[in-house]
Amino acid sequence: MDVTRTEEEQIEALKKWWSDNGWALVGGVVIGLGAIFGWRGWQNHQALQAEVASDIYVDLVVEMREQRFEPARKFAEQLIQDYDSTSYASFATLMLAKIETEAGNTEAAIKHLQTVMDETGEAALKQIARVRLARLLLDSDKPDEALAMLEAGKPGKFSVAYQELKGDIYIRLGRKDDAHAAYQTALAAVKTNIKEGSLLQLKFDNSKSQD
Amino acid sequence: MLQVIRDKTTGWIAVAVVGLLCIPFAFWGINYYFEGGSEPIVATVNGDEIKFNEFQRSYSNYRQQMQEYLGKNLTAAEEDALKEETLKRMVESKLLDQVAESFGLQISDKQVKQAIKGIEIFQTDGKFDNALYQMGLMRLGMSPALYEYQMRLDMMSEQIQSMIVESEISTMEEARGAAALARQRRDIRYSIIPVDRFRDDIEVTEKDIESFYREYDSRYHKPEEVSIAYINLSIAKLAESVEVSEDALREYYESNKASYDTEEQRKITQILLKIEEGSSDDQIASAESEAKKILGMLESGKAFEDIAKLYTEDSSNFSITEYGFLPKGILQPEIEEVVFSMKPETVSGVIKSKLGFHIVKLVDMKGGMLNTFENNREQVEADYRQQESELRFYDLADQLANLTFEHPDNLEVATSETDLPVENTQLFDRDGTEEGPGSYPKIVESAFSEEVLDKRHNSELIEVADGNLYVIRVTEYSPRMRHSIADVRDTIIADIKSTRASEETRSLGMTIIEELVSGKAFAAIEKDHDIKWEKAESVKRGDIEVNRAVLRTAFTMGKPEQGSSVFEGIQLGSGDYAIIAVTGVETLEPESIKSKDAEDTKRTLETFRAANSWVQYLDQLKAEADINLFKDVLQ
Repeated sequence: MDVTRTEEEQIEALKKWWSDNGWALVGGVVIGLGAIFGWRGWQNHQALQAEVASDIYVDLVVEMREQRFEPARKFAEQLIQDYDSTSYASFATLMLAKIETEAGNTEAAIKHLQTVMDETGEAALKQIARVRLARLLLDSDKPDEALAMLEAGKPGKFSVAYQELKGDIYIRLGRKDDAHAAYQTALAAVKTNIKEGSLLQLKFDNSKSQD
Repeated sequence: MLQVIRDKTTGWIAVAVVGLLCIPFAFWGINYYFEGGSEPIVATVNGDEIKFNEFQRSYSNYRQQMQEYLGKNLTAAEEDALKEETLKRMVESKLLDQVAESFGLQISDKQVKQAIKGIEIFQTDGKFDNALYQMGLMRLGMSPALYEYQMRLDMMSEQIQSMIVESEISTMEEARGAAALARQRRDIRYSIIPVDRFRDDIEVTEKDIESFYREYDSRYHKPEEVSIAYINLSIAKLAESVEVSEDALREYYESNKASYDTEEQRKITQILLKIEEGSSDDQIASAESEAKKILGMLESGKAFEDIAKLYTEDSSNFSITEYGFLPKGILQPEIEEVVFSMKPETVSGVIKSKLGFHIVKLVDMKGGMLNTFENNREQVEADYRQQESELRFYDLADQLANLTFEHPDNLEVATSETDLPVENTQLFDRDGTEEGPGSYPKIVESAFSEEVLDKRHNSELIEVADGNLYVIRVTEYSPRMRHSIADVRDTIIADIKSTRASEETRSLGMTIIEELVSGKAFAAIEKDHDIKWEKAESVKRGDIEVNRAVLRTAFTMGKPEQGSSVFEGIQLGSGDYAIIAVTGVETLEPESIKSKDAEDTKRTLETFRAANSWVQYLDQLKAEADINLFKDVLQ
């Protein structure tokens, strides 16, 4: 800043700056405030939507827990239809995949899992959906597709589910030794202390070839 | 930089700059800039901090739960493990909070309120009790706002968890396969060669003992040990030595009378001759005359119990009931009026109520007019002792702390000034002792600390429980030491015998398996090696007749070809060796499984699978996150 100017000169300069830029400043403030309130308003709207969706989701979970899949279906469909902009819609899609599996509509279940895989940005969730989808492909007697589906993703920390399913697929394909190896990898990754007697252990034991 | 901004703040640029400046405030608000952060942190999770005092609060809650569950204090090692676990949980919950935010999850105020009202410990008689709630929060050291905030976060985490767990899939096809597998049966033949078969014949020479002692050196050491001298100051002990005079107790009682006044309560036994609703006048009259007859018997000296013997309860309208102490307001008004005006050990007349005809005996009474010093003397004395000793306790604790600190090289000064005795322990190692000061992990830890052990200073005051303090100093130290060969001679001989015997058992077992594989018959082996075969036909996985380890192994063995067998051997924990032959496998067809059984298997399968999915989901979140732990802060 130029320190040699007198006070009057400074005031003069300020006035001039104001007349040049004053409206721009006011405009800036207005736009800024508008952005703030607009953003806050949008956020509030979103939050409210999500709150209502959250209530419905809680009802959905209760029905799922009690295995009342038809009432559950109504809540899930409502979430997908009316609260599409919230994450509860993808939660509901995941549930719907189970509901359809229970009802024997494997095709529909596969479609829902595909939707979750396509739409979610969360890697961990995508991986869960992938393993389930592959399981249903195997169930529809498409072991090769199931294997391809699994191998298109990385197992990451999901190696128990991933390797167990791989073992199941190999059994179907008649590759017993590969299956045994896959079950072994899966068992090694199990952290909870439910190894003994768990199905995985049974599959592993049973897939051993004769020496 | 500022100069440049000033120069350029004309026209639309000015608009843009001011507009931009506003945006951060829309996101974070102004106060973000004023929050300083000098508090220690224990971890960062994707940039979010976990503060030490948050950690401390969670940890002390877990620790309390743990101690209540175990019914004992935690050892230093257990405390460390619990700290790790607490931190792990806090990191996971922070991660879930972040996921919840990125998902945009919301929990309404109503949901939070409902959840809090549903928590049992905040309820009396099944209803939410605000006083209990406030008290509970105080114990947790949380404000309502903080608690509700935490609750909301927890509920969001639960939503994420239920999204993964409740949507877990399994199909009927795999359930049938699994059920068939679980129901598989096998034909087994096995023999267990006992290790004792060889043990007694093993010759151990002096040279063997020496070389074994040298080879397994670390087995024959004793750990380092200390013994301590200590002064114990506890309210309980002080209370015993408080001088009590009758006058002092009376004075104490008078000034604290309110806390001893209890409501009047009376204990009764009642005979009731019931009249059903809609009974005829005749029936009522007969009940009344029955009651009068009973009263007559009571007045002529019969006891209540004897009356009961005259009636069989289920066949008549007669009943006799012993009640506990009852305050006013519980009995029928007609009865209550009589009961609360009777003298102890007396019997009432016949009282009519809408239930029928009653006769009551007053058995005992307490409270009310009986709230006298004499009746409460015991409690008053205990309370008085407690109060007096508490005063002395804090005074002495102060003195003790100062004296032992100012004279760090002995306890004598402290003991002569305070009159608290110095006591001594035997040597103990880092595992502590069952009883005495060595049973407190804090004391053991202190006894082996640098200050107390290496410098031989007095410890600080160690608070092992509320109102129970110790100061300790080490009197003797015995380092980790090798036992002399003479001291452990017998142990070494036993160890050598076990080792060699189990080697020999195993080698025999393996020889037998080789012979089996090469085609030798079971009977021939039985004869040649003096063993006995056990036969178990068509056994299930859970069979309890067969040795567990044997059975478990039998089901992991490959399937034999028709008409042949597969063999395997395992050494058991005892040193015995088991030889196992699987001679046949009965495999079930999945289609043969009943729908009900398949359905059950399916649910179990889903439960296990869901639990695993959840654990692995958390692991995956952790793997993707940027997590820094500052474990040194925890100490």
